[in-house]
Amino acid sequence: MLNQRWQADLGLLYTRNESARFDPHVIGILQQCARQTGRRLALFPIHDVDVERGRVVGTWIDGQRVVHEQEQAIPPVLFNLSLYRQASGIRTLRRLRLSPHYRVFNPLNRFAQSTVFERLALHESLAQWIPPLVTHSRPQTDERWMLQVDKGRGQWNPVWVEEENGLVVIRAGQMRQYCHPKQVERRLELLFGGRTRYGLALPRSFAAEARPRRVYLMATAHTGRSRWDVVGSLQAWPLQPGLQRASQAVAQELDWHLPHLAALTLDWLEPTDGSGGQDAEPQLMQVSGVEQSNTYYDQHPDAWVALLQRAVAYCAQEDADEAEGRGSG
Amino acid sequence: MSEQVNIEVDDTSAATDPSHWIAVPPRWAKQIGQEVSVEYGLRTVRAAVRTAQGRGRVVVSRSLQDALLFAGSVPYQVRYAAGSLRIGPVVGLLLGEQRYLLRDEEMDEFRDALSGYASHGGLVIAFQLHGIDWERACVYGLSYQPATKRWKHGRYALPNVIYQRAFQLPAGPVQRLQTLTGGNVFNSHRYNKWAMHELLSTAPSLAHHLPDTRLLASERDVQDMLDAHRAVVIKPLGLSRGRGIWTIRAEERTEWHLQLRQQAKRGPLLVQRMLELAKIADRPWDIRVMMQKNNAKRWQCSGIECRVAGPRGWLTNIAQGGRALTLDNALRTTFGKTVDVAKWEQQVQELSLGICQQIEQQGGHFAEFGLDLAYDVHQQLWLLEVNVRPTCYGFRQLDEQLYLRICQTPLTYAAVQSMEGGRAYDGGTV
Repeated sequence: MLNQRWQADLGLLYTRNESARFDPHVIGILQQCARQTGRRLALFPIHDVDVERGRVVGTWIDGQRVVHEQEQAIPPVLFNLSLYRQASGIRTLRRLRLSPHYRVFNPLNRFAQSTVFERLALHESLAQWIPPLVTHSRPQTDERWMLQVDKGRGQWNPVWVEEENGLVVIRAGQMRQYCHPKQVERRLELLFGGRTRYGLALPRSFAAEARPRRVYLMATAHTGRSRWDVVGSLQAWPLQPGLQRASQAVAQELDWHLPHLAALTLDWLEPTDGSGGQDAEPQLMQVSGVEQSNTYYDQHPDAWVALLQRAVAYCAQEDADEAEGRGSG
Repeated sequence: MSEQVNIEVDDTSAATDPSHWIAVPPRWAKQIGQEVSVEYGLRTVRAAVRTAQGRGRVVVSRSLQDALLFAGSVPYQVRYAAGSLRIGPVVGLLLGEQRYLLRDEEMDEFRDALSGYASHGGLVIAFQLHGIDWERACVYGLSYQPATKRWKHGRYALPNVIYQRAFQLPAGPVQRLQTLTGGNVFNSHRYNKWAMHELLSTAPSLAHHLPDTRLLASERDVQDMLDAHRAVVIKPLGLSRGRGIWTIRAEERTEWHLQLRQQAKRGPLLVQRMLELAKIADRPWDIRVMMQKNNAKRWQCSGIECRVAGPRGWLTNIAQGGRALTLDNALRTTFGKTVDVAKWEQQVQELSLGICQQIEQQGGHFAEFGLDLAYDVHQQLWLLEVNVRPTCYGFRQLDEQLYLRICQTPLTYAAVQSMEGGRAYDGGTV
């Protein structure tokens, strides 16, 4: 039992579905983090947060003890691990973000892809890895378009569009449609049914059947500016240096546009025909936040632990910077 | 020499001519000479001067555009003085980090402030601290496009004058901007209610306009104040727009203790004597005075409105249901038709000017304050609150043109400062 004045320094915020991932082993590791950083930690699902009263029911951890299911004050520094689909969760996170009493790191884990690619296109240093957004009405002969619903949650259900013998072929899974180039826009409208989409124009050297390679990055807070490290991949590990360098460069530049960004998932498509030049560079397909898939964490339990350790370290460093008046920026 | 022009970029020079040059009308070229320092925001680049063909044309080479991070597509003023040619204004709006991703759709709140854009032109950049690339002296943000009245994202030169629009910002980077701009980040400080009270209490001429106020350390403070004044107001130090304010009267014996304890957990509070404010139809009213810096960097009273509390409350904030009316109307309705409105208005203005000067004496760079004053039933004038980033919706109810002028003034002030080179600040320590 903690007394009313016990106050956590940092909190990890998630959805109820993710509670099961905080097993005794994970809690033990977080207690080590608390000792190492000298901070008191809190874990709680967003639905147990009462912003009005500034209170939350959660698990409270310091160097000596772990207390479950107790109500205490919401910690002033929070790291968000989840993507909220319910209106109440979204609303609570927004209220926390707007409140002068709390600082929420990694507030969003879903991004509008068209906006993200538009921003990334500003950075000349990334030009080799960022395909242009589709703006014209049909693909050029040397292009292959990738279009997706712009949900920003890291899903991969692409629609491929390319020219073939004077016609345009549209492929979605097993479905294949041929149409006149003038009908492309209309066919795509029907296919996406009014849902917001984004499209990227790739060179033909990228196969339509290829699946993207998923790369995970996390920020390490540094005075002035975060440093980004590749912390994992859904597929083969370690990454080849080129992909690692590209991932870090993208994360570093995205940092200019998204405040308090601390975790990223990047999906890369790699060329398959072995042609040289610029086409040989991997192309970014989508950007999302913390991986939400249980499958991934079931297969890679270390990745979950590493994510939490880095989240605590990130918050602790930001908190220390704030205390010394350096802050982010 | 100062003129408003559309500046062209010579794209043909991109590959073949890596030199920095600017082509200006013949009469300017004669005055400037062969070389000049071109200033744009916080960037300065030495460039050769050429004579432009065609009346009133100003053209910059592609390499000069790159070096300045010059953003075309907006009209600029060009001013030559003391060996430097300044292109501007380049003004920044420093926003809070609560907006996650700056987008055109979220910039509507600046529409009224930009309704006077044509009078100053130039580059208006909305940005956040995390968007500043300190090493390359540039910023990622949105710039206002007058042709479409929309905001466009991009990489821009750091502005030399910054209108701070957010307060929950880390001190370090803001101080860094202050240093870079020579103190031209304005509205840079936000005093909480207690700090402001302490600051103003040191001026003898203001002290008798401040209601008895204490920083709440224990419930004893409330009891002492209740014994002295019979009714008090509890205010959170950091909140604005009337949020979290409530009253306690001496006849409420114990009910307030619990509420006070709950509220004290959320943050520090102050306890203030509750004034017996002048009333209209049994509703208290107060006065919002908009004090703003004019182009000559002097404080001016841009507008006075009175606000009557809503039907179910005693808070006069427009956000809390208050209604706006003119000072003339409020004074005559309350104190009778014979009151000398001009004399009372002068008293309001003199007190307001004194408050602005007192705050500025403590340092910082300010260009607007929203002062909340009030007359009590004994016709004594009080200062209730000072707002560093005031809203002025009440003025809209009274006079749309006046409201727009108030909205435009800070940007106009910023534009003038920017064209002066961002070094003309004379407001004291920053």
